[in-house]
Amino acid sequence: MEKLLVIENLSVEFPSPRGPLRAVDGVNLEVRAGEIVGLIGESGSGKSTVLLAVMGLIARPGRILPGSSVRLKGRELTQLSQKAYRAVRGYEIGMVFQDPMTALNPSMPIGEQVRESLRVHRYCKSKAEERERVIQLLEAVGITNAAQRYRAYPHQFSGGMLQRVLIASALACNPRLLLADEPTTALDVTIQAQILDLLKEINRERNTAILLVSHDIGLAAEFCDRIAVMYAGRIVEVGPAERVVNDPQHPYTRGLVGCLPTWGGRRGRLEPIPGSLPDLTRLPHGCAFADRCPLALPECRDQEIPLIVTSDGREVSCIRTEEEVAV
Amino acid sequence: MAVWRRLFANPSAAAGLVVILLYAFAALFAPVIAPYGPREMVLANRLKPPAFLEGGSPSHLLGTDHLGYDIFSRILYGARVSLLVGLISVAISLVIGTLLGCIAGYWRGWIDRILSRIADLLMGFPYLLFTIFAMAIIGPGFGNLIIALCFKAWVEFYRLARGEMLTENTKEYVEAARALGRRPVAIIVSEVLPNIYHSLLVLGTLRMGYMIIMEASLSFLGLGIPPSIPAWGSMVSAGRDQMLNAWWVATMPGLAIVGLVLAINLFGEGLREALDPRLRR
Amino acid sequence: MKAVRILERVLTALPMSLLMLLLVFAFVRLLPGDPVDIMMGQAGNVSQAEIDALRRELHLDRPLSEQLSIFVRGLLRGDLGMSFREQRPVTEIIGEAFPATVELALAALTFALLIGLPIGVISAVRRNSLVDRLAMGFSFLGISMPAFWLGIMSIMLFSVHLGWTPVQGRLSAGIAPPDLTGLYVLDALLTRDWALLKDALRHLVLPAIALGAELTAIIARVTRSSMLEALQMDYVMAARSRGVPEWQVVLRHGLRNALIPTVTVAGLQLGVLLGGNMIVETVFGWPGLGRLVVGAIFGRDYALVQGAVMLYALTFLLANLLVDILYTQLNPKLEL
Repeated sequence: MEKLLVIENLSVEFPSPRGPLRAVDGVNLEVRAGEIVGLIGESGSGKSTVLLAVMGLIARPGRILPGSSVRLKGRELTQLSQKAYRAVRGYEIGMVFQDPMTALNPSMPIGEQVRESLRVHRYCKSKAEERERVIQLLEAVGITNAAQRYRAYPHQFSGGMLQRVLIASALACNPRLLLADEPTTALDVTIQAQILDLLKEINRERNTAILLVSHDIGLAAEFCDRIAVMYAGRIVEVGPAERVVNDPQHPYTRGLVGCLPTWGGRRGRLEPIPGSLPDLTRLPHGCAFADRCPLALPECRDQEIPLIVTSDGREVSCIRTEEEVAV
Repeated sequence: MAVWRRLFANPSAAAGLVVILLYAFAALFAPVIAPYGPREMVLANRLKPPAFLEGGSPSHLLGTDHLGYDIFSRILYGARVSLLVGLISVAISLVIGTLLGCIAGYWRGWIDRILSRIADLLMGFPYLLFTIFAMAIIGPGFGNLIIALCFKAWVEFYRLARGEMLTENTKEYVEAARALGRRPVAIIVSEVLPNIYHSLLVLGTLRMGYMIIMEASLSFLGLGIPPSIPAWGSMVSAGRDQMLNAWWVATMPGLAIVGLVLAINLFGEGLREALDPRLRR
Repeated sequence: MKAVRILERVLTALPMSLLMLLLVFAFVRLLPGDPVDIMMGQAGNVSQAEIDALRRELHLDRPLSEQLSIFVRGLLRGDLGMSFREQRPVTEIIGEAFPATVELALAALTFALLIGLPIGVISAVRRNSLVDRLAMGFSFLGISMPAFWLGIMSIMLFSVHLGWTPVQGRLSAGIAPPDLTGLYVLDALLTRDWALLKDALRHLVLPAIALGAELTAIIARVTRSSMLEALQMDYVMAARSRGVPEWQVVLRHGLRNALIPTVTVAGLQLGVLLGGNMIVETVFGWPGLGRLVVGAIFGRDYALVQGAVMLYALTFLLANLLVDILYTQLNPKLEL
């Protein structure tokens, strides 16, 4: 499969009263065409920032550090002018946001909002065609009575419906890549499943790659082809979803998986990970997880941790990968 | 208090306060500072330009008007009127409005309905029209002016106080006080009021500038302060006839108004920002 | 159904208007000073018979309740009585003056929106820049300047000193406006009378600015703060993610939602516009309702005061109603 999105050494910094805060630190990630990749981490791990960086929506005074690279189909995005970037946004990459209640303009009809990228990128030949396409899209995401609902306002819809609308608006110009920032977090559990099914369907039928950001590794396990785990702005483990969840190598991933409630009470207790995120203005030279890690060695804190490729095709940034350690 | 620190960190608010104090000082010590009395006519010196213009002299810093009054002195005396009127009318409106608002908000029922109807009715008239009308009915005079100004002004404070009271009413500490059997008056005064007075204070400060402009407008029209007492508005009005040859007669008193009101507004805005974190509990 | 709701609103406004009429009637009677005495005093030596005759003519010899019924009956007929001083029907006088006031108020509102809205938007988009600070500084000035002083200053500068604009009035002597709407600028545009247009505008400019200055400042500040809030919203980010150009984001997504608080506040300030009318009209010699009211109150011209104040209050009510309706149009969540 061709590599659709290549993120290389991405670092994003935000100024803060205590010094520059590094939200993303040297992230490497690939998304291939038609693939579903999950980017998992807790709040503050920098995962949403990665998405914003790909979209070029890092607001001043935050900045992408030099040396970072984001390539879409081989084309470098970080150097693009605003005007050029706008041609990419909504056309080659679509984005779905977390809370559909706030991500849609309350005083604009939903049809108009779905139509927006069509209009801006001149996707269709006429306004009538645009409207037709919007109705088709709305129906495709499961909105019944789409033609009448075109002129309805967001407050007339439920959360689940609104998320479908948001997805429709992101897919309008049939982008090859969809960025999804916790698309189901703000929704009821039953609706979550529906939305995920919808996204899976879109991925299958249109071969649209999806980069999904979530804090829920269980969700990612079911939904994604590959999972990348992020901690304190760095990727700690990347690999096929099933492998990462069933045989986590990095201590943090193990901790995350250990937090999962399971049926049948296989594990007697939920094991939370002690401690909290390190200070992002003072990231350690060595492993950022070292202070909370049950397997930490003195070397972990001193040296830069290399990415170790495991036998089953994973990359783990822990020097104790593939050791025989009893967990 | 942290509030004061925040307030003074704001340069424009601090500057505003300084200017206000300057005006207050000038008003208080006018008889001492002013080179001439408020009604001291020196007809020989009619329409003299201010000291910094050609033909002016240091004895009349800001020039004289058509009657030979020294403008600078009259501005100092006029500060008394404006400051007093502004302060007193805001104070009275605030007290009455808060009182009625708390009563309406606490007890609801028919008293709330009546008071709110009256408030709506009063709000139905433009302020200046109403005040002119009121002045025309009760006649000129310092006290009457304040009454006329307060007649409609209390409504704003009423609405704010009532709104805040309604919100506080649902809160637990009020329930608790009621359960303890405390008398309503005690609840309102010692429990609720300390929590809501900030927004009322801010509103009061911001309205004071408006009141001063109202007073000036009324004295401009000849209603309000009897003409014997110098007031900035009537000074501007007198200067209107001298527009062609003595521009300073109308300009200087107006600048005095702008200076004071601007300072009050800047200070009020700074006060609002400083108190904001408390307001957004 | 929206139309029904609007009708509802109008109907609830009616009892309010009636109450106001009653109040006006009562208040006018409270004005001290016998109008007859004031009038006669100016005429010099008058006989008692003439005084009594005038009293009878003005219904002042009747009890109050009868005066009220005469008034109400006249109102229903469209007859508001005669102005003491000018010996003309009140309806005629206020009919002439009303368009002048409307024109001035509309001009001030237009000015305030044309200047205030863009300033607010730009200040929000370029937050904390020099433009922003200057704009906010000026807005403070705008709310600190009394309209009468601003008016006089502008007359001194632009009319007396520079000679660009006339000193007083609505039109120069010798220019006859067509008898269309009474709004001279509009009439000039309708009849393509460019000389009239130029003259009317030259007279309108300064009073409109003097009246509108405070409102401009308020609109600028409110627009700025509501724009700042709107631009923080998620849907703005979402629009950007679709590749929408920034100016469209600002206008279609930002301003559209920011306008709601702006309209609310601007609407609340309508009263200021209508009240401030009196001052500005007096300063500029603008022949409108405001100047009329002031003169009538001073002259104890009962009928004229009644008619003029009533019209004032009713216009105020109507304007508030219009703002309410506009507000619901902008905010789809509300249905009146």
